[in-house]
Amino acid sequence: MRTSIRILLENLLWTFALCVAAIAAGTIARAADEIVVVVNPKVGAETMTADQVRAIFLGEKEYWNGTRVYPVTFPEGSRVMQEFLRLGLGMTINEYRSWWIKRIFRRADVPPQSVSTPEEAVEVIRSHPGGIGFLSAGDMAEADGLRPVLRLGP
Amino acid sequence: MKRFLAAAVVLLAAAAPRVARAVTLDAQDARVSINGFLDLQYTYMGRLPAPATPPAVGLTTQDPISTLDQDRLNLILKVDRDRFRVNVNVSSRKAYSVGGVEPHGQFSFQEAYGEYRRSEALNVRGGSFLVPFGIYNEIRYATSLFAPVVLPQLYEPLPNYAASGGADHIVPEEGNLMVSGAVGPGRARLFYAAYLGTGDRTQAGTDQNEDKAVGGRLTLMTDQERQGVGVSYYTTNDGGGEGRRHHVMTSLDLRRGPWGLEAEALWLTTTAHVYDVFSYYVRLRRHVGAATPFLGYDYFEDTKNAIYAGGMKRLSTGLSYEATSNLYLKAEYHCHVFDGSAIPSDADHVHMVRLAAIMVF
Repeated sequence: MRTSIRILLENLLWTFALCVAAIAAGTIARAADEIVVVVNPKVGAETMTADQVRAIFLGEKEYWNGTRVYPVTFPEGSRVMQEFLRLGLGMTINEYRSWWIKRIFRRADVPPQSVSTPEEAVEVIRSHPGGIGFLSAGDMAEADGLRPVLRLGP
Repeated sequence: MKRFLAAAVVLLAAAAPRVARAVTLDAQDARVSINGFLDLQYTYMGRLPAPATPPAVGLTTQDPISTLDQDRLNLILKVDRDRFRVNVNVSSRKAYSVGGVEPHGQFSFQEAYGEYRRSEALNVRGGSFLVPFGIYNEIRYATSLFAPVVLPQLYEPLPNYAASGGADHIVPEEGNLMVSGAVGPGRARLFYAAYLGTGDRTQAGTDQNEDKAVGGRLTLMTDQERQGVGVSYYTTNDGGGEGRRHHVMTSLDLRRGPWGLEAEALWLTTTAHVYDVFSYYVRLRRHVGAATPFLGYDYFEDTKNAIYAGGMKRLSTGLSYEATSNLYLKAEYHCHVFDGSAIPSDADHVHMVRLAAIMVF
């Protein structure tokens, strides 16, 4: 009886350890994903700095070489959006939302278009000459025809 | 009253779980968005000096007031298509009021304009819009969102100023055609705006001015929010008894980390010497998490006005709290000190308290 309880406890312990390891591995793998900023080639940019990307997505920079930029983002709850805000803008979701509320009322600005999927983001960026957006590195296979201009590492 | 309070509580509570959202429609070539805000304000104002009722002369006092208002409801419709933008700002004031003015609540167009945005250096705007004369001019309708609810005196004098024959407005109200932009390299840039306006109209809707209004502003900015040092000028010629008005304003708007400092000074004169206003204010604020406490000092003087000839000082303090990104709570205290031998002794120190809740969507 005592032996079977010990075996049961050992099994539970191993199961718990494996679960922790799996979760940790998954987290590390996800955290290692880069965010890649991509543009429509008609924007005319070969590279961009983090400051320039920040200015575009916060509505401070509206033109690039005379072309009106058209930024595209993802829903606030999505992981790629949260990572982009953290790595690219240095903001939380709440800070980003508050920023745009102020811009909307003070400057009558319109916030970036939000799309649901990477495929949709690619389509919107392709269809706008000033299109600019971001994808996780794992989704870059979808970004045919777009130009990567900045990589944001974890 | 009970229905109003219940509706207000429900609306404001609805903002708490952050479910309020703007409406945005995206088409291939155009984006359409609708945003807005709704506020609820409580105000206590102590005994103010006031002009005596004829045939009596001199000054008397008016009783303290205590009001609960749904002060503003604004809906803002924007259509953005490449370099063109249309902005329509519809406003309703005092839809409900307890203890204050009679509720009116009709919607009116606060702004309605179209804009061609050629580049960051050149925008052309036509229609009816609030001009960029001072720090708060363009956003007076939404000031309670981003600043203390009680505006500086030079934007919104106390009601006893107008009641004692003061100017109907101290800063310019609106423009109709404007060219503006920002030029210069890097973060230090020069913002310019030059505008024309049809000026004031009589209550019958006819043109009140002998010629049209002209104004402009220059601001040396340290970022896109136009903070920096600015100077403005505006003039219009009233065909009536005022003659030509001249408005001159200087401003300082600095933000460093959590700190913000604002200061503006304004001069208003008329060639017929009806008004001779000098006013300034300084406000210091600091962001501490979701809270923003502030301290302020105002001065307002009109040497042609019986109540304000000796000047009035105002000390202010208060706190803004961003409960959620859709709900703002404010609490403020203001103490007004009137100077001058004509001021009744029981109204030379006037206390004011204002509480406000603002829901954004």
